[in-house]
Amino acid sequence: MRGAALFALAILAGLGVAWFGLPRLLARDALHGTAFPDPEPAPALDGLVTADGAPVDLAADRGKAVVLFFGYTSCPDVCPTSLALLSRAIDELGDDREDVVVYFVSVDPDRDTPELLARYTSHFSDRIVGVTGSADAIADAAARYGIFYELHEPDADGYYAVDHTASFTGIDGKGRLRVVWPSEVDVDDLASDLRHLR
Amino acid sequence: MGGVLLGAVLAFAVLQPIKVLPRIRLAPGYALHDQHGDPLTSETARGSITLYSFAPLDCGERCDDVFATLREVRERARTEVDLGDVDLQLVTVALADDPTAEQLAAAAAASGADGEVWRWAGGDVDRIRTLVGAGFRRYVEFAPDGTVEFDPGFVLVDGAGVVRAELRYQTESPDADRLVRRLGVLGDELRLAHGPAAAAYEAAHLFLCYA
Repeated sequence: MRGAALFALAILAGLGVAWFGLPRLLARDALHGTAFPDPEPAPALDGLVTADGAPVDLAADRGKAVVLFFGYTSCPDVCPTSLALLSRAIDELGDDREDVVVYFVSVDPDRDTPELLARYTSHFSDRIVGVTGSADAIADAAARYGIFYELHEPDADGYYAVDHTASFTGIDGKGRLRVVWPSEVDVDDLASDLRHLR
Repeated sequence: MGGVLLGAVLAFAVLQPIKVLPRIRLAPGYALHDQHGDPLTSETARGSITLYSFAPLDCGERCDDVFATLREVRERARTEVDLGDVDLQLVTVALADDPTAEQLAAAAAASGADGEVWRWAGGDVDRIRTLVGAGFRRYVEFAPDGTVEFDPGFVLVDGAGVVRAELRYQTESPDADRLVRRLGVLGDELRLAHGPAAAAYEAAHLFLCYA
């Protein structure tokens, strides 16, 4: 009888912790964006190349946290802000910054030449790599990563804006698509997640 | 302390006090147009719960049950599901080559799509093939004679652009019941997963407490 009461008490205690304590405990280690608990391999970036002409091979990035961000160098606001945020998060990693690579995939390949991409990304961090490719290859990669983009009509000066999704996609060290962060993610949270993803 | 923690983990994992829909994968990005000629993109769907279906413009009797299911879900969602302040959208992707707004409107009228909650969307056939096949992972084949073979399933996507449910057409239980039940589970998460409860819902995802 006494044993049964103790067993019931233990179950109740466990439930209490489960309800009130455990979620908080787990949350400390949880990723801060929209996380995929049962992640799939990240889609390949077929046909895309870095600004220096090398094919983007996610398999070669095993052991690193990889972040994908789709944007363009003429972007007036969200792209520089987002890349600055990523740069700050990378800097927070100190000696571990080499374990992170950010691919900045241009959705405007006509204007974003490899040279321009390289110069643009170098303003932010040496861990941010400009990526381009054919319009079809970029469209395919964007679709696979849930990214929308659309080019506007040029104005009288020939300038056109590009609407695009501004989220960050996180791939872990095993090459799995693990998390999507909003572009307004907290920089400390992002740095913490990048450590976790390696 | 360790024993209690282990007990708590086991209790949560076994009893599963909260149920969620899995975060399956990212939904594809797209830019289509609807029967009004307006752009309909994955970004305009962001923030809403979107139920995707797939059908040729002239689907005929093959799609009668699919469209009846969607009409029923649309009506029952209004009364049986509380999504808080989040909208529900139904989008039927037209399995056709760059249909005009008029063609989409005709298909919408035939199916009972109202053009507000439920819209039809179309685009270039290559984009549609990639979107449906590689993006939503539904079978579709455009034959040279113009016929379309396809899998008339449903895909439920949350406001963050994440696929939360994929339903094959007509399995053991009625499609509308399954869809409404899943909308209810998603609605609960949307309304309740705030503050401390958000951590509990994350735990439910971690422990795969799937509805």
